[in-house]
Amino acid sequence: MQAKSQRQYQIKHRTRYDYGGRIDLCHNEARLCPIDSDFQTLKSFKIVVEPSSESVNERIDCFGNRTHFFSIEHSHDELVVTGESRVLVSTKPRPWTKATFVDPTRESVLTFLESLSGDDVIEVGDFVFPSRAAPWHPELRDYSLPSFATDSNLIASTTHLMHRIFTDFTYVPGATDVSTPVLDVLKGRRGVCQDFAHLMISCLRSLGFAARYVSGYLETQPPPGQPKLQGADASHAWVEVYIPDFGWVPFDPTNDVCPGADHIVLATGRDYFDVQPVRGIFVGVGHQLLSVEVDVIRL
Amino acid sequence: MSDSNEIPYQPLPKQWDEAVRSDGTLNPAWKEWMHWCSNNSPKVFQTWDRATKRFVHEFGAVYSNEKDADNATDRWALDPVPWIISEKEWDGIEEGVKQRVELAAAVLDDLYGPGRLLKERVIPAEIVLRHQGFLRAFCERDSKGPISPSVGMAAFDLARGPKGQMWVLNQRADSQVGLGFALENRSIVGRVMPSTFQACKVRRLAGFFRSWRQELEGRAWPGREPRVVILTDGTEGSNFESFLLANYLGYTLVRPGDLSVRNRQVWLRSLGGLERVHVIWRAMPGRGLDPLECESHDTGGIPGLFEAMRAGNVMVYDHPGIGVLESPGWFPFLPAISKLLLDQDLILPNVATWWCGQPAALDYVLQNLSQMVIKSVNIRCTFKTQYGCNLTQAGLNKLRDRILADPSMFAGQEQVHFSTVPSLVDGKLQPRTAVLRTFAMRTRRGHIRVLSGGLARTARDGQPIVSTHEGGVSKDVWIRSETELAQHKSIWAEDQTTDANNPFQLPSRTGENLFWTGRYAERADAKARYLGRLLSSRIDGFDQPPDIENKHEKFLLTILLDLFEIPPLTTKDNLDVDRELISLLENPQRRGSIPAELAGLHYASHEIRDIWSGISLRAIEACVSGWKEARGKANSVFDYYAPLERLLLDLTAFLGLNLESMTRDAGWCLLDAGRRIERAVLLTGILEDGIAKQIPGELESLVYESVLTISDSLGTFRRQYRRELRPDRILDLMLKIDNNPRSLAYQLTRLSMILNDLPGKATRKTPKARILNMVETVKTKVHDADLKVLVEPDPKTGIRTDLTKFLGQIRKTLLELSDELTVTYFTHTSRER
Repeated sequence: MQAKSQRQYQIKHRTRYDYGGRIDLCHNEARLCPIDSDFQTLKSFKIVVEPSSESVNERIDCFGNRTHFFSIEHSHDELVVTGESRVLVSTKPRPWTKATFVDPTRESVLTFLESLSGDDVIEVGDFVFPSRAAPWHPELRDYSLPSFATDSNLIASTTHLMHRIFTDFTYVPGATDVSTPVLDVLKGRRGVCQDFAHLMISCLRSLGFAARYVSGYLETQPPPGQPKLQGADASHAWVEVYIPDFGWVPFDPTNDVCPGADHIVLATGRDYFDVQPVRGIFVGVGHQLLSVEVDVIRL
Repeated sequence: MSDSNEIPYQPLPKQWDEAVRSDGTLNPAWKEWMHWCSNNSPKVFQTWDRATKRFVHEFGAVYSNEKDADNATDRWALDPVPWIISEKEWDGIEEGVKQRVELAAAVLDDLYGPGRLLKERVIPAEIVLRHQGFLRAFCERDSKGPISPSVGMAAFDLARGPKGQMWVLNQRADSQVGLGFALENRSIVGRVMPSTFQACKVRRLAGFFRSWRQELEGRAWPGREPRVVILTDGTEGSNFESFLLANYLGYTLVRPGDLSVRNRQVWLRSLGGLERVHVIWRAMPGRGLDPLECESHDTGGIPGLFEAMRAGNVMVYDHPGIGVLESPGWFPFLPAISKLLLDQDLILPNVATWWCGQPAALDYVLQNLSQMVIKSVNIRCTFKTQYGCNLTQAGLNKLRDRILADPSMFAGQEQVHFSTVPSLVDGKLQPRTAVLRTFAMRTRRGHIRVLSGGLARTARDGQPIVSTHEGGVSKDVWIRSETELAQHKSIWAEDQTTDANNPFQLPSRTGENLFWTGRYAERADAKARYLGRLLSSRIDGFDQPPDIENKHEKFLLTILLDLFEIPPLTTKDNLDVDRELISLLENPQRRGSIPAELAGLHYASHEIRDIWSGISLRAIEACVSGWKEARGKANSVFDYYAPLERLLLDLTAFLGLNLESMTRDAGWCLLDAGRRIERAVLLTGILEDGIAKQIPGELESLVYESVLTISDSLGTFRRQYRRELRPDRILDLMLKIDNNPRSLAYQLTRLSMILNDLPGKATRKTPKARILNMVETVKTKVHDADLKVLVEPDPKTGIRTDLTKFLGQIRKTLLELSDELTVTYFTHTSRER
């Protein structure tokens, strides 16, 4: 039974590759299974591969995401991978939105991160350092500094940074792709959710904070009279920042909101490349046309 | 003990020397060797020098491609004077190296397992987490199965400091650069100074490789004996050594594209189909091994490999995750790590190293920058090691800024004056500082074995040296034995595993390169004949009026350009024969020129240099370098006549050698098929242009003669017919007579024979049946052709239309045959989406 304080979502995430020719062999890795967390419970998950794969092998990657490996080892000209899941998301106010929550000072967080030890090294270490799509850079540091006065607190400053990214940058689908460097995004001032997430992570890391990339979905039934949020019917991406002795707190720079019950978390990693929903390599002569369909339905 | 005054060698004052001690006495390990020098110098130095250069050159020529031949000889300069080490001292070094391997194994277990080193801050997190060699694909939260990284083969660079202590400068874990060179240096030095080598009772290397083979092949696999391959990424350095090791150990050398993963197992694309691979010894970085799971942008690799490893279906040596150990960043922390994981102090200390991620260390490095060696702690970094002492003030400032921009990516090492070793320089023994690379292997059971020898490198004059991979001159390393050496055993001595009657199939890529070697060789041959005919016309003429000769030359040139689809330099109606000739003979950039064709032959043949006999490789080398030499000497086109003949001879020698020395396996079939298809295609072309076309009456006889000369059949024609050159007779000889090795009928007969020997069943509808059927179709067509009808020209145009059509159809089928062979037997490439 579904408790009052929970919402149930049904998600269908369908990825289709059209090769424009016959392919003999392809290997794929999917991260389509939503994680379990304090605010989210996975009720069911199923991955469907067409044409069918001999086997689908599941493992948990080093970031805790459920990863599925499968291969198509016979001639085929298209591949459809569908992840179907049901997820319960808590509608209770998140702890960091409560008045009792203590927003740590910038200095205390930096001190903590500089002397990481024990399990924290494993949990947080990877997200302090630069990664492929979220580097350190003085320009990113300079861009973010106005939001981080020395005496300010981390969540307040990060919220400020998120708001600036939302204001300074324009959401323009097609202006960038997965390989667009974050510095180009900074210069061009436009992009999509991925770019804004990478940009914000890079800014935070350049200042010494721990930030990670979240891939997921956003429910987009707009209440009457309110604008529809971007990221509807597509996979979405946002950011989480590490708060010592508490954990990860999410920020969505694309929509200038702190994610709550509308955001469903699929996977987390250092950047997009750790959590790519479907990643594959094929053997044979062909190209590929990719199309993705996402349905998020509240039950 | 000998007095060093008697020997032809003088060490530097106040610097530790390996042969002569500071008190002037001779190190006993060097006694016999120095004695030999004293008795035979200076003549023996010259002899050694010459012999070494010859062996190295032969070898370099054989094993590297044209572009790199000079580089390789240069880079792989070998000084025949060995670094001699006594047994007693070596025992100490060996202990130290063994401990290092054990430590490396313990560190890996921890990094990809419990992570104590990180959690307890024994190693700073950024040294591990920012290292491109740390593969997160192998640190799983629910780790299971036989996949946790372990050390297989490791290499350490050692050098002796001013007080005589051996230090570790460097650890190489990701790939064992130098092992092949150590092997080859030994083989050469053993031949250069056989008697001293014997007298010194030098420990052999074979035992180490025998153990390594046992390790690679030792794990039981269901079914047949395990198939071991050596994987190279095709980069020059990796290739060169891999060839050496593959040849020595008898393993198949493969590229990533040769392997594919199916059913979570690794398979080799071979001419006989897919063959299971059980063990991969890699000579390429682990971080690019599986593009599906690596962060690396590099193309290549084997998609799905990591998953096959997780399933326990393939062993990869060394484990891809091991690369993280390759960083000077570890050095300052190793004593503490050794204490924690092994409860031992390091036997061999590190050269003093400061990791710039710590403020105090950073200060120290920056303050002493001009005496520091600065290295990146990340293997993938573009930063090249810099020596403070070589930099100007501006250079030092730049380096300082670079370090300050991201200090934790750098480490500084003290620049030390290492010990000197006697080296042969300018015909004399002179002291040179040296670094010693040692190699060690660790079995699955944890047993560690160190190679009794290694690869030494000495600095070129006045250059600092801190690692064996930074240029300089290489040396063999002799470990002396106090006891009598056991009788030399080859690495095959204890071998019972190899089943000689069940050979592995060739990789498809090898087959494809053989096929193209055949095609290129035939093409070069044909071109040499065309150009030879043109040149003899230019040089001597054929006793015809000048305008006829001129027209004939242009006609021939047109055929040549047309046949090989070479765009002319000018318009087609306005050909400049001499300009075209010189360009086709000399210009490697010109498509279809002789140098371009030879480059193609060289490339295809050298991609598979492991399968040729040494002498075949030298024949290819003769073709290529002979032509290069001719180009250097020629003053005009006329100077090419003799070299063209020479080239034909060398090409024939190469093809003949293969005829004599190659096993008649699928590889040979493809080489020959390539030749036959090319020869047949070119023949249809020349007959079409030289017989079927409308030829001005006054040119006819000259053109016919040219057709036969170029087809190497003029003599045969004269013996066979003893009559005038007539199209029907030429066609008969060139199309139908199947004992003329230049005729189409002959090529087709051979093709149906050799293609039948290719792997695969030729039952109904199989690809092989389709291939054989194509040949039969052409054969029948040629057999049934009525030459009387074919030679009839169209009354209006004068063109032999039927003949043109007939030859065109044959050529089309032959080219389709080539495509069909490619599809059936050769590889595809992979792409990421």
